[in-house]
Amino acid sequence: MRKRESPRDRAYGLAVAIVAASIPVFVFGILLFLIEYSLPAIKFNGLGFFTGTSWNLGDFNAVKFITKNGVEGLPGASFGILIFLAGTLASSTIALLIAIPTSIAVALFTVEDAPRRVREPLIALVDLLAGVPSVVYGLWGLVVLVPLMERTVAPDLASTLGFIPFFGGATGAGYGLLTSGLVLALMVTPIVSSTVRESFAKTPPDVKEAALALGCTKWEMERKVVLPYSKTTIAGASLLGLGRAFGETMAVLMVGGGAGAVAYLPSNVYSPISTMATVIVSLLDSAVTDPTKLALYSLAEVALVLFLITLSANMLARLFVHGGIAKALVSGGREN
Amino acid sequence: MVEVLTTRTESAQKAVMHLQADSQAESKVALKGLSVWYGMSKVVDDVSIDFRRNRVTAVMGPSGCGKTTLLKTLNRMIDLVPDARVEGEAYMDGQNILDPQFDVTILRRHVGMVFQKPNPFPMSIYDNVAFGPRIHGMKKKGELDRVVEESLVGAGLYGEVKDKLGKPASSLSGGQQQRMCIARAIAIKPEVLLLDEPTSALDPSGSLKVEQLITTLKENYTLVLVTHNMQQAARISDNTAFLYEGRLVEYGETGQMFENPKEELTEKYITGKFG
Amino acid sequence: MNSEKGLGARKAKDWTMRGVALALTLVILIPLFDIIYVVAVNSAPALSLTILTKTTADGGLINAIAGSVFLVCFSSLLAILLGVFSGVYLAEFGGRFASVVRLLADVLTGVPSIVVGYFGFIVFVLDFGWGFSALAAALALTIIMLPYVTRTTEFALRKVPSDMKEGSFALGATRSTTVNRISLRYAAPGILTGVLIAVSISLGETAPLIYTADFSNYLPSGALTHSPVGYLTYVTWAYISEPFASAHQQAFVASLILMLLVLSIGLCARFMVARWWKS
Ligand SMILES: Nc1ncnc2c1ncn2[C@@H]1O[C@H](COP(=O)(O)OP(=O)(O)OP(=O)(O)O)[C@@H](O)[C@H]1O
Ligand SMILES: [Mg+2]
Repeated sequence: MRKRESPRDRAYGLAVAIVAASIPVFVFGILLFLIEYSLPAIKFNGLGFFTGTSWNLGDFNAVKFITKNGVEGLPGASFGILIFLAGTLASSTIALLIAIPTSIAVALFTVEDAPRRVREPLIALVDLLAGVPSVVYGLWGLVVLVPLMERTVAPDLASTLGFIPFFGGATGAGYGLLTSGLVLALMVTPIVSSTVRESFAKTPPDVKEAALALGCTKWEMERKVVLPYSKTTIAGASLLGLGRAFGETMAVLMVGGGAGAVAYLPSNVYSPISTMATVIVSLLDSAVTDPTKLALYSLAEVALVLFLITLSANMLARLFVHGGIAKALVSGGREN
Repeated sequence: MVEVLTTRTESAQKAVMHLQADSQAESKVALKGLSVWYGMSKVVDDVSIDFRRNRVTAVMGPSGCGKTTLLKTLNRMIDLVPDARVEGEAYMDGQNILDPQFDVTILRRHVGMVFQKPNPFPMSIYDNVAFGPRIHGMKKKGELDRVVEESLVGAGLYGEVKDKLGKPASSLSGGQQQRMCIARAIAIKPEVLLLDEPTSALDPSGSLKVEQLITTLKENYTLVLVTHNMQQAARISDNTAFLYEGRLVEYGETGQMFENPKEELTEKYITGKFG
Repeated sequence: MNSEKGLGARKAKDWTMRGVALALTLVILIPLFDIIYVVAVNSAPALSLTILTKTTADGGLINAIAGSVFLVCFSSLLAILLGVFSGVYLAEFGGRFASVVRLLADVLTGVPSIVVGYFGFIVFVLDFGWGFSALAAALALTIIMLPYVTRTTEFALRKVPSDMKEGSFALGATRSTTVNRISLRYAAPGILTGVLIAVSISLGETAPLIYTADFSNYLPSGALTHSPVGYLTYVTWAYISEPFASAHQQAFVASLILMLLVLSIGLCARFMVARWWKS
């Protein structure tokens, strides 16, 4: 029932379309900027960017710049992000390993077990958890989790599970990979859980009844009916959570122990870490001082890689979660 | 508006009368003064019925008279409704299945149910039928294969699906899905089979197949069939119970009840002269 | 009949899983309460009027509070202007371009806020020459808020009953009049929910501000460029690693204020969601 458009309507439509173009402008603006700005770094660093383990601005006292692939840099400059890449992937993996089962459990409890009167308040509380700013998570991690980790959790884990790779060895000062993973898990769980919960709630009741009528216990019904019906949503929500974990900055900056940007690959789960996101904060101050700007370009390359990693997680998630990411996030609250 | 005619004592007398009806068959499930409330409203009111072994008992009545509720009480699916309350007794082979001590998992293994709409699990035909046996501990491939085949044969579906057992159940037609649901229900070898308007979502040919299946199943099972369709009840049931506003108005042999109803209300319903 | 082989184990598993689900739900809620508790207890000794009368340099927070309010209002204004009309476009006029915008809105929600911060630093602060400034910071926040406001507006507008719109058309109203007078008015509570969520997000952001707003010990000057702005999340982040107890208290009080605001906005949004979305 489309009405013949009056000139005023056409003008209005055009105006809102132009406003709506701000979104593509921002997205492509950021993307093109990152590509363009990191181009010198991409040329200079080559593939060594991904395999290198040192982030070295080079010799500031040098009289002459060196040139590599047509790009000027300080002598001795090398920019490798393997350590940060490892920090990002490891902390996010730990976070998701914890967050996925937890989210499923919370969603199951909310949908299947919680008495009707408890359900709404419970959903509200989980959503509030999603709204806590990430610096506050960082603060809490710093004053509660870090000491706990240093004094009891890490030593206990090392002595009981030390035989498992990455669980033995020096237990550190409480800052590090495991602490970051835990904080990230806490931040990601409400997001994953609310998406999954909505999907659980939509399980066809007649199929659930069929399972129960065959003599299933509740858990058997959940495992055979509720979970299979939501498996794509679970996958999508997990990817959504992964994207969040990849990009999280402040909380990991505060509990990861990589204040400056760590110089070693994590040797176990108690090792301090820096992630792609945290090093952009940590290294920007020094990068500004690079007279060749190569350090700034390289940080842009870090940002570009981070952008692309999170983008792929999110786009994959979009394939799974019906209605798109914004809807999942809006209905489920969001972190910082 | 039709007046409610039965009183408490009358219905008790009827219960005694019904116990005598169809005396060749022994009792399988006996309801004694069963009442069910949803919150404040009483939807099943002091019903006593004796469901006979190897018989099809039709439960009829206008929409909302409590047929589904009655059925759900027999396998305690009613437990899942948060504000439902059940009073009275239901004896199955002498044990009160409404006793909270009575384990619902076991009860449901012995009392199968088929729903109004086919509700296949999102898995293969084979896995659907093997679902119950697996849940109840059957693991061996050979045994499962045999049960699946037997059940599909029993549901009159085997010929149609034997070459595509691995296909998703959703690929079957509605009528086939419903027969698969019956196969799934009989795969755990229940003693009682509850059917809640099993043909209402099917086309005539699908309905016919399910009806034929029901008559063959009574050799091995006690069947309770909820139906809106009077011709269907007349065709395939042995006994018929007529419920009205939660009360049991009349219960007796199907032929007799259709030809010669004792209650005015039943007659009105059967002849379609209902408001 | 009242027994079956293996049933005990199956029941045990069922009870275990029920227990696990309950336990994990509690485990996830304990931190929420502990965060509130820890923040409240640690800021209690420092709660006094000083917070509102003195700046961060003198043990107060007024510059950070004022800066946060300034940045959030500024960015919300921009995000509402852009987001609401983008949402109108998506809901009322959408063509092929609309699905592109929708996709990119999803992309934008996924862009890590630090990436937005870096972009803002190089482009707004350095290239455009705005310096550390409210404008650079507010734009960075706007980029983050925009997709939320846009998509909630779209969803809210889609919920406007079509007979209401048709009624307006039937009276001879144009599309633009109908959108402005009927649809937006009807959808306002839903849109407001999205705005509240976006406000709460921007209030809690740090990463996009560190290198765009920098930080300032003074009240916002009102200048849009070349004037750093203080904000609450910065105090929490930076002051907790200072070696002074008084700085720690400032960090906690800043968190307390953030938590109170975020939680009340969250509850508010929730209340409105319950009242409106589900109607
Ligand atoms: N979960 C429930 N909560 C409250 N009331 C219910 C519930 N389920 C059913 N009822 C009410 O109880 C009455 C009996 O319902 P029931 O489903 O048993 O009727 P029925 O005879 O099966 O009807 P139909 O022929 O339409 O299937 C109806 O008035 C119905 O509205
Ligand atoms: Mg019914």
